[in-house]
Amino acid sequence: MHYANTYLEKPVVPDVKITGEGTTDVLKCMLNTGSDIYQGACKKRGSTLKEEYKNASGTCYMDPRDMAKLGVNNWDTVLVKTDFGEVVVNCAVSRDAPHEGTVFICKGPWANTIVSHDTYCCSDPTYKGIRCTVEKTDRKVLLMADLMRWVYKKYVDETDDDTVENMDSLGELPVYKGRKWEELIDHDL
Amino acid sequence: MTYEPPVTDYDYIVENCTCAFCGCNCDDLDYLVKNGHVVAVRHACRLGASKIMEDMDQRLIVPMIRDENGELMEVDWDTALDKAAEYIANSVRPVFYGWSETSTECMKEGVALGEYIGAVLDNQATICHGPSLQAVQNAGYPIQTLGEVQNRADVIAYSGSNAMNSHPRHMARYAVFCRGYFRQRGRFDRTVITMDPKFSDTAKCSDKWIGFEQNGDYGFYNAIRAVLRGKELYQDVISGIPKEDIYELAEEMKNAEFGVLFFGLGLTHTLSKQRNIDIAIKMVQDLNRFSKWGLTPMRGHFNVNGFNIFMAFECGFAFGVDYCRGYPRYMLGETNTIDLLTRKEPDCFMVIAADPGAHFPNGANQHLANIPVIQIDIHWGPSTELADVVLPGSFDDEWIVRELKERVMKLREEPNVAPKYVPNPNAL
Repeated sequence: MHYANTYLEKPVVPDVKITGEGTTDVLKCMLNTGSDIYQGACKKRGSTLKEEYKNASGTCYMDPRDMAKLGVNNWDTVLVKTDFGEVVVNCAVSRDAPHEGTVFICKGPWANTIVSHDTYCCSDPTYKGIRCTVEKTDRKVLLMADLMRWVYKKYVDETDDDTVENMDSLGELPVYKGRKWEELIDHDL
Repeated sequence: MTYEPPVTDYDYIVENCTCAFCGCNCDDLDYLVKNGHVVAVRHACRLGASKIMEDMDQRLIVPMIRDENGELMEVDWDTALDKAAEYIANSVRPVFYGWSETSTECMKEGVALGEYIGAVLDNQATICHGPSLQAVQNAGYPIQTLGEVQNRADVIAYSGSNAMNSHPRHMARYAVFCRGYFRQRGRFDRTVITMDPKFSDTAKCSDKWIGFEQNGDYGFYNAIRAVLRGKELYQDVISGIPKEDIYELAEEMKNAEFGVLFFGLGLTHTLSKQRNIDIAIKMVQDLNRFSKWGLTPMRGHFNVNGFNIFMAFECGFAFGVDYCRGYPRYMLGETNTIDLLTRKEPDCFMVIAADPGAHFPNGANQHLANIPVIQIDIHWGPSTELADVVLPGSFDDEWIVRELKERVMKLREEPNVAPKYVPNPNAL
């Protein structure tokens, strides 16, 4: 049977070749988070364990001039640090450029790691306008399940960040002991 | 992006279904059904379509609890509900968070359970439009319906909101491109102004983009108010905007026949929080001295406003309602989920139709790793990675919460469980 499909492996970004030398090691920026349509579609479909969510949500959208300073191209990895944590994400040319000095990461577990939980007694955490630094890195972007394990360590005994980061990946499918949906629902895909 | 051929192989169409994604609640969706399965949907936006054509790999199908190795294991409904009820009955400060993507009947059961056990009930407003609700209490609520916008509005202002990405049919169906009784030519009869530091997709299809600087919203709206009240601006540049532009904008807004301000999370998530909305509401009130203006918050989930209205109706407060003393209590920065979690207060957390794993800051979520988490949801999401009991919900959320309530009541009546404080009627 033919089902309509809204899957998209990576968000569409401007196909710009960055030709900077990468003279800056650590770039000081302002971090904004929020939603965009790729992240929203993937989250609402429920595909949060998939590579698609990692690319839609775990991507730092940057001004091409900032990318030239760091010497990175579309879908390279960068390390973003704030006072509240650090996370490895992809980087890509922003569709809303120019906005030199500002980076945008869609909301999701990756952005959560580095946003401020300060509510200033107003119930709402400060998700926008946080000072951050961006630097080039060789570390890989973690899938959602691996990231949750790395950040919160709720069900692992190790407490060391590097050990947990390099553990075997939990993969793109739910890990549980029990019947899967194919066994329970009569279907004819 | 590959070409996706349209679905032509279907048995019948179900017309005019309501979309359960965003606050627009579009009611013209057509489902294409084959052998009892929805195979495609027409008229929905990308977000609505992906919600309906869901990912079955991650659909929660069976109730699960964590075994001793920390791995989720399928159990029967009785065991899972008993385990969840045990966590709730043994807690002294439970928080029930979520409710925005479920039915109002389910909320009713939730309030009954929360009142019995002395829990905090909160919804997604606490991390999105909570400041808007506070501002409404501070400054008023000059609101209009989307039908009025469609038929009458000739100036549409978006502020801190990217409608093209988060409410994709808002511009097309309700506000900008649609034709109305007094706006027969649709888009040509309307002026669209976007005020946002980001040159967002909404800004790209607007007539005017005002890119004030980050955290500059408060100063910017105050400057417009000053101009509207006939004052002169002494600074040349305010919040990154030249004063001539502010004069021009104020004039344009004054001359509107019917103007509407739609505001989103760009205002509530920056530093001034509810003060931004206060000032935006007051600006709309000032504009009503010259013309007809209204405003509408761009709410996210389809029933997020439903929960706020329901709670305000039931107990007098819109969100963050604390029942720990037996009566409803609400205190900003005290009974809200993020503040409670940051202070490490809750000892049991129930997530229903929400995803704190995906949307709470790390500093708040860290506490979820220390306490039992019960999840009622339809998909395996980031919260499932932190959940100890997983109950697959759907349209039977109401049944699950009612079952939980009955089981918790039964447990609390047993003498070896932490007693609930019951006021003695003879004490006086």
